[in-house]
Amino acid sequence: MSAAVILVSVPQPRHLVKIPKAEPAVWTILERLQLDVAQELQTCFLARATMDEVRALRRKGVPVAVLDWNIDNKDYILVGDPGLSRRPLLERRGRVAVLESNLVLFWSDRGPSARSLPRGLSRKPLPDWSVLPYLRPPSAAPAGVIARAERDPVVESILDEISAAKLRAAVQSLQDFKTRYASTSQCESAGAFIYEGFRGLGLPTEYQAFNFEGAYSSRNVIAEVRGVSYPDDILIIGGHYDSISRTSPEISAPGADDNASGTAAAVEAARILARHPLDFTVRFIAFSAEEWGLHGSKAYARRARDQGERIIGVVNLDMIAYVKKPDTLVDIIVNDASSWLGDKAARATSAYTTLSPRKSINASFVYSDHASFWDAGYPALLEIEAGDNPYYHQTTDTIDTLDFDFFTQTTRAALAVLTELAQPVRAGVPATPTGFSGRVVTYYSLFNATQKAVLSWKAVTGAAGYHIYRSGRSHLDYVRITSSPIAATTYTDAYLGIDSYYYYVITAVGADGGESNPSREFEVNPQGPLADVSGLPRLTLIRNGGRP
Amino acid sequence: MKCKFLALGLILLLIPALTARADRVGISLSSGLFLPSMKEFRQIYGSPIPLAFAVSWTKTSGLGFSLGIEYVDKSGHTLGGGETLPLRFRMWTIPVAISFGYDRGWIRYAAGLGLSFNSYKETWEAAGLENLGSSSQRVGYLALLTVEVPFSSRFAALARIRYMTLSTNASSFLGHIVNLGGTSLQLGIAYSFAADIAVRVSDPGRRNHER
Repeated sequence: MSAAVILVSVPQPRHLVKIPKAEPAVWTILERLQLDVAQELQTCFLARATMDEVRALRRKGVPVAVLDWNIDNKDYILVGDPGLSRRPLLERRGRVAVLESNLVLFWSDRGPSARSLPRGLSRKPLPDWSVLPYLRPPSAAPAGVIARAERDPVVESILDEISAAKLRAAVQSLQDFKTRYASTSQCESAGAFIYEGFRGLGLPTEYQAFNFEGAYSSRNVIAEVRGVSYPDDILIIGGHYDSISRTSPEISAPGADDNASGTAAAVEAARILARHPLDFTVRFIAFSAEEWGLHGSKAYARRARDQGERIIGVVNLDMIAYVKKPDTLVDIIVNDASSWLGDKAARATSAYTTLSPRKSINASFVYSDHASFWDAGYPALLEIEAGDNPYYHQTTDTIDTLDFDFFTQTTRAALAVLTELAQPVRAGVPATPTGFSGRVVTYYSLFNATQKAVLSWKAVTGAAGYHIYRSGRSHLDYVRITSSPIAATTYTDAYLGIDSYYYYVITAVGADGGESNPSREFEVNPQGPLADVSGLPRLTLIRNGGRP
Repeated sequence: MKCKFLALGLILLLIPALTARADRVGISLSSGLFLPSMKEFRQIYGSPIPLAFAVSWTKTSGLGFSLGIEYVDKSGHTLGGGETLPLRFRMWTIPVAISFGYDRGWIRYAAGLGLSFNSYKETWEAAGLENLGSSSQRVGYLALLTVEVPFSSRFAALARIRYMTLSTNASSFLGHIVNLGGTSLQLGIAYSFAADIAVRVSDPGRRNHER
C-alpha cells in the first residue's frame, strides 16, 4: 500500500504592523525586505507583513508591534482624534489602535469600516498598495531656515491679477448650494457649476467620475492650461469642493472656509493663468468626497499613477480664508519626499505676500487631498490657515466669517509657487530648451563606485549657447556648473558620488546674454547596491523628471 | 579575530620546534591561477596570476611548516554598464601554514592549514579618480594541498592547490561584504637542501652522534 503525499503551500496570514521610525536604518531595512508599507506617518510606518517578515524585522532590531493579526477582508482608516477624546466612542463602534497622540487607526471586524465611523471626523483610508517605492528618508537639508526668494516681476504682475471680489463671488456661489455633501444632488450641481466656470475660461475641462463607499458616486472637475515647452510635465493646484457638517450634512453644510475657499482659489488661479502661456502644464482640480475619506483625490492620484503621469508637484488648498487678525501665519505641510516643494512654497510666500509661512514636515497630517498624492509617490503640499476655525464642520462655516484680505494673500501664496514652477513664457530671451533628458552611467569597483550624468537636449533656435545648473535639492538652489555657455547640445557631468541626489536644469543663452527659463529637471537618484551584475546593463534606478 | 590570533600563536609556538628539528628544508617558486570566490571579483579582474615563493621545514614524521610570500597584480575594469573605467588590483600575501605530509620517495604530498597576512590595494586608474581607491591589511584562513614529484636529488616539480577566505569587512556597492579569498592553482619547482644542512645548523650534537 502506498501513501500519496500532497504538499500544499498555504499562504501565511498577513498582519497589520506598526514599525517605529526609531533610526535611519529602518528605511534601508524596509527596502531590503521589500515590505508592503501601507502608510508612512510622522513617527512610524504601518505595514502589511507575514510573521516571517515580522521575525526578520525583529532580528534586525526593529521593534515591531502587531496591531491586527489578520487583515483579510478588512479596511483600515486613519482617524484624526485630537487628545484622543473620541477614543471611547470609536471603541464602541469598532477596533482602535492609538498610533500617535492625535491619531488612531480604526477598523471594523464586521463589514466596511467607514460605515461604522461617526460623521465629521477627519479620516483617511489606508491605500491597498505599497507606498514603499515612494518613501524617502529625512533630508539632511537644514530645517526651519527659509530663504526669501528673489521677486520675479513677471510672476508678480500675474499675482497682481488676483481679485478679492472674484474670490468672494466664487465662495458665495458655492455656499449658495446650501450643502455640498458628496452624496447629495447639490454637490453634483456644485461640480457642474465649477465645470461651467472652467469651460467659460476657454479651458479644456473634464469630469472624473468615481464611486465611493459602495453606494455613492461623485465627480472631480479637472481643467488644464497646457504647457508649451513640456506639456507632459504637470503641476496641479486644487482643493475639495464637497463639504460637511456634523449635524445635518444632507441639509446644511455651507463649507465656506472648508473648502469653498480652496476651490475658489483654484478657480481664480485658472482664470488668471488661462491668459498666460506657461512652459509646463497646469491642472486645476476641484476634488469631491474629500470629507468622506479623500475619495476624489484618491481616484485621481491612482489614475495618474497607473497612467504614469509626470506630476511635478501638487498644491492642495484646504481652509485658507479664516484668520484671527492680526495673525498672518499660514501652514505649509509636506512629507519628507515633498520637502523641496514646501521650501519652494515658503520662499514664494515670503517673497510675494504679507503672510508668514510655517513649513512643517508632518507625514501624519493626512486629512486632506495632498495625502492621496503622497500615497501615489507625487510631491504635494497642503496650504492651510494656521489658526483653528471655530466653525469647522459646522453649519456656521459661512462667508461672513472669512477674511478676504487674508484669503487674497493665501491665494497669492499658492499662485506664486505654482507660477514659479510653471514658468511663464518670457519675451526677449531664447525659448526654453526642450527635450531635456539624460542617462546615468554608474561604475562599480570592488570597493567603490562613481557615476556620471550624460545630459542632452534639443537645439534652441537663436541660442548662442547653454548653461548647465545642478543642485542637491529638487527645484531649489541650483548652482551653475558651466563657466561660460557651451555650444554643444550634450553635456557630461563626471564624476559624481552615487549616494546623493542630483538635479539638473539647463538654460539657453542668447547672443546678447539673455537667458531663457530653465528646462525641466533631470533627476539622478542615489544608486543602490549592484545586486546582480550578471544582468548587465545594470539596473536603472534613475527617474527622469520626477515621478514613478 | 580571536581565532586568528590563537592560530597565529600556535604557529609561532611550533615554528622554533619545527625549524630547529627539521629533517628537510626546501624552497619553492610557483605560479598559476587565482580563482576568486567572489563573482564580482572575477568579473572585474578575471583570474589573476600570482607569483609565489615559499620556504618549508619538514620533519621525517611528516609534520611541516611553511612560510611564503605571494604577489598578485591585475588590471581590470569597472562593472555597471556598457562603459567602463580602468582599475588595478594588487595584493601581497604572506601565507603561514602547518602541514602534515607523506613521502613515498617518488612523490611527496602534504596538506596544511594556516593563516594568510594580506595587504591589498585597489586603484582607479583614470585621472581624477585616485581618491576612489581603497587599501587595507587583512588576515585570512587558508587550507592547502601540495604535491611534489622529485626529478633529481634536490629538485622536484610542484603542484599546489590552496583555498583562502579573506573577508575585508568592507561593505561595497556590490551589495555585500567584499571577499578577496579564492582558490589558487599553482605549478612550480621546489628545491630541497640536504637534510644535514638543516641538522648542521640546528643540532650539532646530533651530527656528532651520527659520526
